[in-house]
Amino acid sequence: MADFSLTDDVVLSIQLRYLQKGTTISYDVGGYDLRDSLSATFGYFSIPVMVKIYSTNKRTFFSSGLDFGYLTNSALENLMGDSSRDIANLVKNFDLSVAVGFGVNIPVGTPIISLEVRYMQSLLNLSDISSIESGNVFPYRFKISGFQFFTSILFPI
Amino acid sequence: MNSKKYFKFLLVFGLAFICNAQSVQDSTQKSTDTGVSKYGDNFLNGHRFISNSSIKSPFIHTYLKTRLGIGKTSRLEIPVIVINGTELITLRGDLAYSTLNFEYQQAVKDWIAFSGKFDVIGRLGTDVQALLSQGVNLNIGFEFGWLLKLYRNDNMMLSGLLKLNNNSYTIIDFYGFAQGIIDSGTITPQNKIVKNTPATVAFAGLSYAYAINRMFGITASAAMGYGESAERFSEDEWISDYGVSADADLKPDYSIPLGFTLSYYGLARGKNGASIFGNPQNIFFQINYTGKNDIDLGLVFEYQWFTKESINQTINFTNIFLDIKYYF
Repeated sequence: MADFSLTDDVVLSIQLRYLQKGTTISYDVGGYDLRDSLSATFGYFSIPVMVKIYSTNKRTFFSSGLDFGYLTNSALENLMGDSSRDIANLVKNFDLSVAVGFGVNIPVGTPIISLEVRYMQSLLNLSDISSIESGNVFPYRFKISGFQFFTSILFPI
Repeated sequence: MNSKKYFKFLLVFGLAFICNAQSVQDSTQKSTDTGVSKYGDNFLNGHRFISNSSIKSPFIHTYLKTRLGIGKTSRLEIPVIVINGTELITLRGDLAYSTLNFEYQQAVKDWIAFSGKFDVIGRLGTDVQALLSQGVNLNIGFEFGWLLKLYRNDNMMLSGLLKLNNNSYTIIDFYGFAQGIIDSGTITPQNKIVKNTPATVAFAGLSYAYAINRMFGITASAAMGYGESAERFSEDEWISDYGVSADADLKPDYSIPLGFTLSYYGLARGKNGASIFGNPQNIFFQINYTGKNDIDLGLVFEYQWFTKESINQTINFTNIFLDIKYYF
């Protein structure tokens, strides 16, 4: 992660990361309905570009920005049957998300410990199938959202 | 840069900083003289603006707001329900409306604020025929947004706003479900009585306030958004919302802690979203207590109308809300 001071209170933060997202799906896998019978996981290589705005005391900040993600792997696992299949052909490769967060910086000598909680929401429809195919194969429309918690150590240079 | 030039730079920068800090100090002192003790309060030219929950205020301040309201339709003509050629004769009923809303805005600096909002809005039939014909619509949503000060002088203020709205629409359609069974002869996976659709929309817009004098002021806002429709299998579409509010505060000139607001607010959805929820237009009349600077307490009367395509009729709601806004 690299932070660049734009002004005294505004910092541009660029972070490179690998992020795994996932969910469980309730679906009729045959015979009877089951809750959480399928598990979908998506691996992304992403670059969040965040703007942090510090409050007057410089300890707390609000952040907001965009996350550019590229799909590296995806899988759908049948939790009851212990089988898994690759679903990369059903999911779009690129995901653009908006992120908003709140954080606290704690100086410990020269380095600074930063704690941040962030909410991310996809802006694009990640499903790569048509409405005709949906329902029986894969959802026609879905997005990924969720909360993230970050802990980092910053070294001023 | 050699040491002499560096020293000169520091000296010039230091003087500029002192002058700027001094002017900020003067501004703060001036605002205190008008009774405003914190930056970003909703005063211009001695006029205190009365807030409306539907029309975004351009002022950068920290507050917690809540709205609670109920309402009902008037003059609703529900079409006779025909199932498999047989008319269903039963109690007619109306549509009831309820809303609960929480919003928190935090002023991060004097030029930018961050806000989060949570909404619950419900519409349902009050008796058998209305319930069968119109079902139940429930909208649960939250919104994150930024408000940025663009321009401010003694009489007016202009701010830009960016917000991300995430709604979950739950529609219980009894009539459609029954009709689907009749048409297909069986219950199919596509024919659901409860349909749940999440929809995300991103908005950008402007908010403006103008103080005519100490008693009267005008607030206006408009935003354009693009995102998912409430109809799951349709394309993304544009949505816009816009509103204007005129308010009068009797306290500065008459020492009466009452204020009044007359507002108009409209929402224009795309074709697919409008086919489900219509494009509601709203007129508000609001009475506020303005005796304290750190709280807005208001009783809001709303008249709302929109065209429901499925029954080819304009539905009218009359609603009443209690708005409470507390400034920190």
